[in-house]
Order: sequence, then structure tokens, then C-alpha cells
Amino acid sequence: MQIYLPIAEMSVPAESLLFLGVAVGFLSGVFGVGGGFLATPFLLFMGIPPAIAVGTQANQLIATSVTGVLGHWRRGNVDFHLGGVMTIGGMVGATLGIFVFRMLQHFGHIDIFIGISYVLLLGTIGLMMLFESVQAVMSRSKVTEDVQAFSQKEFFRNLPYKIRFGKSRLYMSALLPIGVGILGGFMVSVLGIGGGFVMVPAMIYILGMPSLLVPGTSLYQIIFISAFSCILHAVANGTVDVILALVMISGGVVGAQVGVRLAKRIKGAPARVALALIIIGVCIRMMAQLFIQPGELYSLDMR
Amino acid sequence: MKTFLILSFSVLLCFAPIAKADVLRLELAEGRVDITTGFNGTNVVLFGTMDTDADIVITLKGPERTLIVRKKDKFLGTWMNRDSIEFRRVPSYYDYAVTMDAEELAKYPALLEEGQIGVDHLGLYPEDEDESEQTIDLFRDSLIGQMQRKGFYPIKANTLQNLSPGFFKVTFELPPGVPTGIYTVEGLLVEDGKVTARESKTLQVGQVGFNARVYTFADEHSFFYGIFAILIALISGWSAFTFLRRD
Repeated sequence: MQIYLPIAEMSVPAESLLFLGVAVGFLSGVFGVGGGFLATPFLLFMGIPPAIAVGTQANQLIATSVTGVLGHWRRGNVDFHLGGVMTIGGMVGATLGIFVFRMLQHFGHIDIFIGISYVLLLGTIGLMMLFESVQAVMSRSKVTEDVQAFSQKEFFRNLPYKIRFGKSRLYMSALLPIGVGILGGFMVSVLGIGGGFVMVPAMIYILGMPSLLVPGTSLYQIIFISAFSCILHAVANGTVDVILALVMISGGVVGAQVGVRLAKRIKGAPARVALALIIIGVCIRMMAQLFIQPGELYSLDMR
Repeated sequence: MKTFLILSFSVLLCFAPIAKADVLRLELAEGRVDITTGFNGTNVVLFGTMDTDADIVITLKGPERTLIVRKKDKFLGTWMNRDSIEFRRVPSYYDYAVTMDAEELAKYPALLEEGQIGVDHLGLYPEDEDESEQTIDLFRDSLIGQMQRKGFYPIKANTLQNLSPGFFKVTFELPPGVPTGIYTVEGLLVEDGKVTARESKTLQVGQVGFNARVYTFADEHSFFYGIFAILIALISGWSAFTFLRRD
């Protein structure tokens, strides 16, 4: 069945969209990741223009983050204060991202920019996760490393605007969470990913947050950043397709349910191996697009 | 609908001999193409009458757009867009039907040029004057090739279907992703390579119903559309959590 997308002004097979939604939801159910890193590339592979894919992802991210954050909030694992400060940075990053996106689109380099960013991000994260999880499977022992967070290093401790974050038991310069927020906002509006797998390590290793509070707080600030980015995309580019988002979201709800049930049966480390392999798979697919000579050298851009 | 059409055409036929100057008449079966949520392409049906046995050329053109053709080249090991040429006023859709065969048509290059008959004779104007003629031709050819693959440009001419002497029917195919806007149908009556009569009609291709409302809302009130999109996402996210419990 074909479904006509009113904003993209194109007709796409509804089954593929729904299936993609289910797959993304399934991943978020099993692994607790947003799944944007899978959705955006696959929308692009389906022939949806990058601007629509990214703009609509910003919209879909809101839904998945809300579903995720409610659970964490119930268990009291969200640091609203720190998340709020990160949101300020996120809005700056999202605005910056929209400008960069428009500029790249104007010069016809948005595809390659998205491609290279994904390859670098997914490649790094995927490999790191693979090594870590394979080690964990082999040794079957808990790896607990005590690393000193960047925020407690000499240079960062001397930054101005220090704030006390009670819940996370941190006393640091507001510039640090704002900086991490900028990175997150930029990723949402340029790459269409909430970037949980970048934000989570950044919040642990750079800010030094207790890892229990990290997922909830990360999801919490992504809601606001992606909502902000969604409005920017709608106003500046007119590229948010609610029909596309709705189909993906409804698929996602079903997938998440299946995923959550499955997640109870599988162990953490083997699951992380699987996730690492999926991430590396998407990375390789993106790499192929960058490095293998395409069958069609010419492309059309409508203005 | 059918009886109405036949009726209207019989009326048309009766008047045709009286209106001497009007030797070619065209009428679209539907003056507009409605794009709904389930839209999967459609046919544009056109009827026409004429009172001579001259040749006919019918063209259907979509709204003009500016298209940029980009060419990928190897750069630092990756394939990225390097050269690009902008073409102004490119018909976003084009199809044509003729009574003559290709050989006969080729005898009248001036006619092909004037009537923009066939994809090779479309007036595609490149913006970039610095590029060599050869490069421009390559880019133009790839533009046409890609439009053909999308089904926006024809591979070969359509034929006219003669229903009775002087009464014909033409069918053009619109693919699923067809551009929206005002289309123009132009009919030429051709005798010995000279245009003796012409007639044109417009066709509106646009979204209707729910789709159209979403599109207009997003276009005219983009800020509130953004808010609306956020609300939908918030509600679906919240209900996914509430009604489909994780535990």
C-alpha cells in the first residue's frame, strides 16, 4: 500500500515505513536507545530527502523520549536541574545546526556531511561498545573503572558560573553541561538523532554524573531540544512531515512492546554485542555509499 | 459521468462546423487531479475534436521549477558532489502525443523546436555560462534521464486514439510522486510542418482533503504546525507509556 506524504509530496510504501518504525521501536525496547541512528539512514536509503528525514526525526524523537523518560521519572532518576541547564546549550546547538544544515544543503553537501558524521560516530561507538561487551562476555566479571570526570580536572574546575547540582551531587561550571547540550542540539537538528549513545558517555565521563541518573536526564533534555528543533525545522525549512512521523511512531510503539518483553530474557553483555554489531552494520552500509563508486553519478535537486 | 461526456461531446461535435476558426477543440475528462492519502498515480484523459484530417501534437507540461544537476566525483577517496549546473524553468512533468511517426516528425526541426516536442527539444536553460557546451549537454542528458526514470518525462511519444473520424482521445500517465501545481495541455494542428491551429487547457494537480489541509497549515502557519506536530508526538509518547506498560 502506498501512502502519500503531504509535506514530502511523495508517495512511499506504507509497509516499509511501518516496518522501519517497528524495527526502531524494537531496538529502543531491547537496548533503551532512541533508534534515530537507524531511522534516519534508512529513511535516506528509502529515497526520502535528507531535509524531510531529519526534520521528521526531530518530531519522532519527542515521542520516543517521552515514553522513555516517564519510566525513569517514576523511579526518580531524572536530574531536572542539570537537564534544564543542558537544554539551554541544546537550543543554541539546535539553532546552529539549522544554519549549518541549510548551508550544506545549499551547496549540495548535506548527504556527504550526514554520511561522514554517521560513519565517524557509529564507527567509533560501535567498535568501543563491541570491545567492551566482548570483554565483559569473556571475563564475566563486572568492570568497574573509577575514572576522574573532566569536570573535576584542574582547568574545568576554574571555569566561571559555578552551580551546585544537588541531585547529581556535583559542583561545576554551568559551561560544561551547556557545552554538552550544544553537542546534543547540533546532532538533533543536523543528523536527526537524539544521540543517546554519545550523550550518555559524555554525561558520565565529562560531567561525572552518577550513571543511574544519566539515561533519564539525557532523555529529559532531548525532549526539549528535539521539540525546539522540530519547530525550527517546520518554520525555517518546512520539512516536518507529521504523517511520516505518525506512521513511524505507531510502528515504534508496537516494536517497543516486543522489544521490552525480549529484553527481560536476554543478558546485558550479549545484548550489547548485538547492538554493537547492528551499529557497525549501519556504519558499513553508510561507508559503502561514501567509498564505492555510485551507479549514478548525477543527482537532481529541486529548488 | 460517461454519458455526460458523450453528451457534451455530441453537442460539441454539432457546433464544430459552425465555429469555422476553431478547428481544434480539446477537453479534459477531469479538470483537476486530486492527490489523496492513498494516491498511487493516475491517468489524465483528454478528448478532442477537429474538422480536418491534419496531424495533431498534444503536449502536457507540469509547473516550471529550477533544478540543480550535481555530479559526484572522487575526492579524498569519497564520492561527493563536485560540479553542478542549475537549469531554470524546467517543466517538472512533460509528456506528449503525436499522430505522426518519428521519421515524419524529424522532417520539421523548426516545428519540434517551436512546439517543444519530445524531450530533446525541451527548452532547458542552463544558468551556468562558463561550462563548455559538452559539459552542459552531459548534464542536460542526465537531467532528462533521471526525470524519465521517475516517470516524469516520456521515453517515447504517446499515440492518439481515434474514436471516430475527427474525434480522438489521449491518455497521459501521472506517476505516484507527480509534482503538484498547474499543468498546461497544448494541442497543435499541423499541416506540412506548419501550425494551423492551437488550443490549450489547464489542469490543476493538487492535494485534497486531509492531506491538503496538512499541507496548507504547514505552509501558512508553520510555527503552529510545529507546535501541533510536537503535541501529537507528546500525546503518542505519553499514551505509549501509559497504555502499553513496560512492566
